[in-house]
Amino acid sequence: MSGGNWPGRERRANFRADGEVMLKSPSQYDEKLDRTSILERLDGSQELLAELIQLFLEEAPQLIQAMRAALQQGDLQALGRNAHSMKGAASNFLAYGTSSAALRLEQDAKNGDLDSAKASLAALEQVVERLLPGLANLCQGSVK
Amino acid sequence: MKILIADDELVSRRMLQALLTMWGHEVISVQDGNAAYEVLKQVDAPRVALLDWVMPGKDGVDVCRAIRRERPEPYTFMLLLTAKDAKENLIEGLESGADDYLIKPWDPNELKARLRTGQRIL
Repeated sequence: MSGGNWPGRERRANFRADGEVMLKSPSQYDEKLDRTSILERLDGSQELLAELIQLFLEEAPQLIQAMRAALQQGDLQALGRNAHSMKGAASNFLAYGTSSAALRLEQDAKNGDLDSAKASLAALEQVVERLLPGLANLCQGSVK
Repeated sequence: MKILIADDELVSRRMLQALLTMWGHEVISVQDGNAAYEVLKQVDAPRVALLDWVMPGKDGVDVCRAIRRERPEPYTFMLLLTAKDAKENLIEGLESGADDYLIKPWDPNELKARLRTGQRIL
């Protein structure tokens, strides 16, 4: 795989509930957070939601930092591992845009495609930048 | 019920721990597969384990293989939690000795049902 066709619409993916991968267009990296569905997964505990969001707000920048460092050092294993963590962390909030972007980066790392990984990390950083304030709002109950 | 959870990612681990505690279980929480293996091979180990697939050190599949080989009795009910994207990998997981798997983001009701299955088996 080469990074030349970035942003290649056909290479975007997102999870369906059953774990199958489905194709996404770049604009679909945007998040639509669904507070009701997220809370349903937490037995309705707003307290737990607030705690998990707080943890993610602390963890996400650390993961991004680790991914930047890994990319700089050409450490594809560390890059993939951190992208995998970001994918899992975001999926707890049903933040599929972030999960998809992280999956893309994880795949680039696995494929040894540094050029594509650079673009994928940039895309992931953008979507995480939008996700964090969205989650912070969710914490205050102001986002549906 | 005493349950071991192993996940190297903070939010996922905390969510699992909090929910299981809310449901009345006693939770032992570790951050990697090596620690999970050390806990599960102890004499008074939890009989139920929820193992993230991808972890540093031993991954979830390695833990399943090692426990089935080295500590077949008393039986440990092991579930793999996975964000794996290709279904064929799941066969590998089940062949390692895992009883079942859940795909992240897992549904809490599905997790409850799997735990009931575990209780029936044990």
